[in-house]
Amino acid sequence: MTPDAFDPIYLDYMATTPVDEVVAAEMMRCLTRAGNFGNASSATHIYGWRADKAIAEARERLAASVGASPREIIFTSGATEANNLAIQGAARFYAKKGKHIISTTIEHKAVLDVFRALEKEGFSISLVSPNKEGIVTVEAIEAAMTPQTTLISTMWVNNEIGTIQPIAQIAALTRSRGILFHVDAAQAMAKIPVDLSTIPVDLMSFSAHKVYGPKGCGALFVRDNPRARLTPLFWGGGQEQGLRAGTLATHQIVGMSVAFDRAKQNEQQEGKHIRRLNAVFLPGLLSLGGVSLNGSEAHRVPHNINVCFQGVNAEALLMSLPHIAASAGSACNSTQVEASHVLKAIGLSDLQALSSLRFSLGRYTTEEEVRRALAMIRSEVKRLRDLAGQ
Amino acid sequence: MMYNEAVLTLLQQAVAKPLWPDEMPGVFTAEVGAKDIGSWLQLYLYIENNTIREVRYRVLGSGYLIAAVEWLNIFLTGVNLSTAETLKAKLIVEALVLPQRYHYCARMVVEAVNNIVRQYG
Repeated sequence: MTPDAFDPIYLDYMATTPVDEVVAAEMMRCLTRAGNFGNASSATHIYGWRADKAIAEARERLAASVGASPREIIFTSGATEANNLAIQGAARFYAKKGKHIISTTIEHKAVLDVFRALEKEGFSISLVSPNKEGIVTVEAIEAAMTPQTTLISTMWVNNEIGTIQPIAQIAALTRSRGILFHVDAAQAMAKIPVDLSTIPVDLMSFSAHKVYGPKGCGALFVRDNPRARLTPLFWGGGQEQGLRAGTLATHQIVGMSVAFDRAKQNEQQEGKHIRRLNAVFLPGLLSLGGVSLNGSEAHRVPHNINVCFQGVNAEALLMSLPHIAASAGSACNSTQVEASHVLKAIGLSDLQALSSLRFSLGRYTTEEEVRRALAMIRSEVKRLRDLAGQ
Repeated sequence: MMYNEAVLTLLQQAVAKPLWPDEMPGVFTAEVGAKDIGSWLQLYLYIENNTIREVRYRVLGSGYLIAAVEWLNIFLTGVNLSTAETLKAKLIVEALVLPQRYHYCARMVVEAVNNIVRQYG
């Protein structure tokens, strides 16, 4: 069937991804009476045993996809909870040793808010700025360290500009100093190789819905040797080694593990597909003139194309393109529109940040969609620039 | 954020018509905001016998600002200046169901109209 000119084009894969059909089918098998609906904590009957087995297999599958051992995987409700468990849990457990934490100014808001909460509990937080490329250097992290530093937390792939942080180098540094290292890898899985057997990270957060899995499910990797210790966020049935109480959501966990496994299996093929799309889309955007790429060109995932359209309000452009799903470089609250803290951190002015859009490519994006999107963007950018007398 | 249909329609129909020369008789202009802060409006009204015959403009800003100016274009064309003088931001806010953070768009538009009415008077 030929695509209709008004078929929407989804270019917001860094916001979320559709659930892979194979994943959805596996999840369905854990939901209904005919399937594996039991409570994994029901140790006295076959329904519970089956659910427990499905979760054990899912844990093994997910662990294998990231180079971890099953015991090191703690399932959560998503990356936000995993980040909270890692940061709050480690900060509180090691508080007697020191109350200084290092992170970066380009973390996700959900992580920055955790630091604000910890500051109110008496923790001292140092937020390291990236360079203009959107990269936080090892030297900058090292310079922020103090004898009281107990935890360093950074994201691996930035959700707004797609830049890749030097995690291996930072991990080597933190290991040599005996400081715990947490990585928010919500945007890394399925975009870059993730192998925890080769990188000495202590804690790593994952999200299912960024990897063609279900929303409402995530995981925290907690290294076993040396064991990273955490204080739980809440208490209950003692699930997940006492770190995350609550009945395990079998369907979500199975879905996440299958999604991660498929991402790992298709890593190279998918990477090639995305790079091919990027090679059409980015030059097409730059050829409009007055368009610049935000963040490093070399150290970024090809899935992310965050660009500044000079002389165009990004929100007006998005509103003018109702058939294209993308994200603006701004955040709204009830009274004002704020420029993205990430774009400002890499040196963009408020005006440049408010002129920036993030397009993100994914597994199901086609070259035809990219070319159709380019044509629409070209036409609307011209119209808005004409309106602005540019 | 969800955009309402009225705003989307107005935004998408807005086009840049050629501007009149400043010295053309009957043409009055007003400028509000600034390009370097990303919210700017240059309004041109062609007025004849106390009646606004045509509205043209240049605008840089959010989709809500562009929609508000386009709404103004429809509202003012053919309207007597005494009616234009009574325009309040509240009317635009209500007509376009502007979220609170975009109320400034209505205020900018009204400021430009008031500026021209003062010049004419």
